[in-house]
Amino acid sequence: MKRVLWVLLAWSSPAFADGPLGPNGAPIRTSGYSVDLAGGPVLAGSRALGLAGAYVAIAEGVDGNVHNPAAPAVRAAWSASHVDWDASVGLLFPGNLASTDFYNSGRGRTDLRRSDPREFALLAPAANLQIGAWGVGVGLELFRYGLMRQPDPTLGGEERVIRAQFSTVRTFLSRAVDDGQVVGGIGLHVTALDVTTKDEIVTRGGNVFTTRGVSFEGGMLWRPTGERFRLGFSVRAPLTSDVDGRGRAVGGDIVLGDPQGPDALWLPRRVKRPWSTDLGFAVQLGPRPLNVAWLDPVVVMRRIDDFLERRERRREDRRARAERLGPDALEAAELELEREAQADRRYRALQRERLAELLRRRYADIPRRYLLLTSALRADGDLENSVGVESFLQGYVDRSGERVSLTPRLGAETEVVPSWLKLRAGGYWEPTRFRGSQPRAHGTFGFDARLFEWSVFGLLPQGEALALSAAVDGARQYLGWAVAVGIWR
Amino acid sequence: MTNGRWFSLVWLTLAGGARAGDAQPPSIDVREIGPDAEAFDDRRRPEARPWTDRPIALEAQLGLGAPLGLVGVAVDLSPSAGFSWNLGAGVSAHAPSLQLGTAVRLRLIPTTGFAVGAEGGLAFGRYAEPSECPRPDCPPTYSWERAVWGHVGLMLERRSASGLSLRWSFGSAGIFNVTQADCVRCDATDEPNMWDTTVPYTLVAAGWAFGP
Repeated sequence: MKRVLWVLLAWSSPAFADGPLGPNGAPIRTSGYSVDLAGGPVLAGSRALGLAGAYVAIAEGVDGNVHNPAAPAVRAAWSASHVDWDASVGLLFPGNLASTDFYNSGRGRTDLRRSDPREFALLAPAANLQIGAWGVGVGLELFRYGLMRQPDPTLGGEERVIRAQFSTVRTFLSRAVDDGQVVGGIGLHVTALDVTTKDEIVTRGGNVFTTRGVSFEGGMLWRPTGERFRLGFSVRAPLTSDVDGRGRAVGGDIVLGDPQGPDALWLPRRVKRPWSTDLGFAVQLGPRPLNVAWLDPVVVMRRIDDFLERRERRREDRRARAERLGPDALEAAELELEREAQADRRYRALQRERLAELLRRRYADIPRRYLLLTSALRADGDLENSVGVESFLQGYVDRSGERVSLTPRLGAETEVVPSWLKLRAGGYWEPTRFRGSQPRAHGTFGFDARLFEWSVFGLLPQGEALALSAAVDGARQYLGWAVAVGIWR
Repeated sequence: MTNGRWFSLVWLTLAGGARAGDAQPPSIDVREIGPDAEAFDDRRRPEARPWTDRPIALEAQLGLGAPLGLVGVAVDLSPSAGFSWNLGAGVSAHAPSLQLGTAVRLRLIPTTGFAVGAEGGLAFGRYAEPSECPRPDCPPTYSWERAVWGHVGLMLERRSASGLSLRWSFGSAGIFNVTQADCVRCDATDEPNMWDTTVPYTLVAAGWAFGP
């Protein structure tokens, strides 16, 4: 019963409801506002972070998904199989947030005084599957803030945690044409804010309030084979969520706790992500090519497969003719035909092995030295009646997204010790979404270091070496980092 | 005697069959799979010829809810059978005004002269929701001096060897810059949602394709 009391939603009259959001600094006393999910520093894997997020024109791997929905179908130079995959997991803890001005609000360190430091802030698993020229991707971004709720003094009891979860489920479908020279993709995203009493993600059985919305995005990458450049762009439709009608709160203001009490929290009726675009250009200097044609082994083998299938059909004809001649003729023919079929199967297998080896050797023979320069410009649209995440958690108005914001990014990557060490560096200008703050410059640095050969208990082919990859992102009142262990490429 | 004749027939049959299938099977050609390989891309496919021979098309469009409005003209550039870029202008149906649009298309299933594909793009122009309402409790309506529309859809395309280009597309479009709307009958809390502006569209395009 106590638990129910602590999550009770107080309902107010319609006249009181939907009051306008007050001026900056005023306490939030309405649900007629939204939380702006745009902006913030780069949250990505080590390569994209090391390149300062200038990744829309690179768009390789799961890190590329959030920059360019074409990414799931983009084949890296080493991809030599018809089916390929990529996966990653991102984690961020509140301790990282509380020591920085994470949202660049200009109000000092991110104040999560309502938040339970044991709750994670970001969980972001993602995976891509590539089948031939197609690619599908799926990812989850889950920001969870554990809101500490003071007990009712008249009832006593312990402090309880109510969780506010901003979640985005991203799905992508993309396709490459011209051996991967042009890749296009679309994304469908479901974004929700759940306020829940339970420590669970999937069933949402403890939800007391949900606002949910769907948005689309599209993107393309042009990577002409043999040329030294790539061009990528993506466009995202705006997202505006609505209160889920199946939830317990469908009208009026939605208040967590006693509306007259100091611990009350007015929940937003909406979360928003404005329209946004990314445009990027990358160029690679040095002997290593940037755009290696992706050859689908199934397509390369098609000529051989077609020939052998025609021969198989002829064998069927010969078998039918022999069958008409009688059992003896059939028996003699079958022996001969089976011998030929076995020879064809061996030939096909040999050619497949030869192709796989040639593709492996093709990648291994590519020169290592290069200097990759990549750039991107991101624009995030404007919003009305919106505040930042930090403002929502604090319960005070700090309007966000009143103007269109631009984020230029630059990154560079080179292999300083061929086959052993890659270095990356970059920078981006993070605009502020808030009135009281200033843009800030970020500097990023990262590396990939080859470790040792290990098949990981037979999961990887013999001869594959592991790599340690790391990146840091520093700015005024901000420090982010990423570490990963993967396969050396 | 009979067995001998059968044996001869079988032998001839097998020998004849063996000769027919004895052509040297093709093998992997190392030259085709270098880093700059182009032997297998969509431009080299035999069914790509209608687009590779005639990569530029001028077309007229007629649409309902379409990116270029009710009628429009466009130029369509197809560097390969897999991809094309379209740029055009048209006139919207109500409150006639100029609409400018661009789109890209991927031909997912190209066959000889026909293709099934997907398209997406952006269009710009004035747009106003119907605002006439006789009742006092009508919902808000919005108008945009420069609406930015985004659209995604599917398409079926025909390009003949003689240059005839036909396309039927359908999909959905919505306004991106929802916050830049002028409103009738709004109070302080009303605001447009992109999904409220989303409309289905369909268009047919007919034109002539030619080589450079």
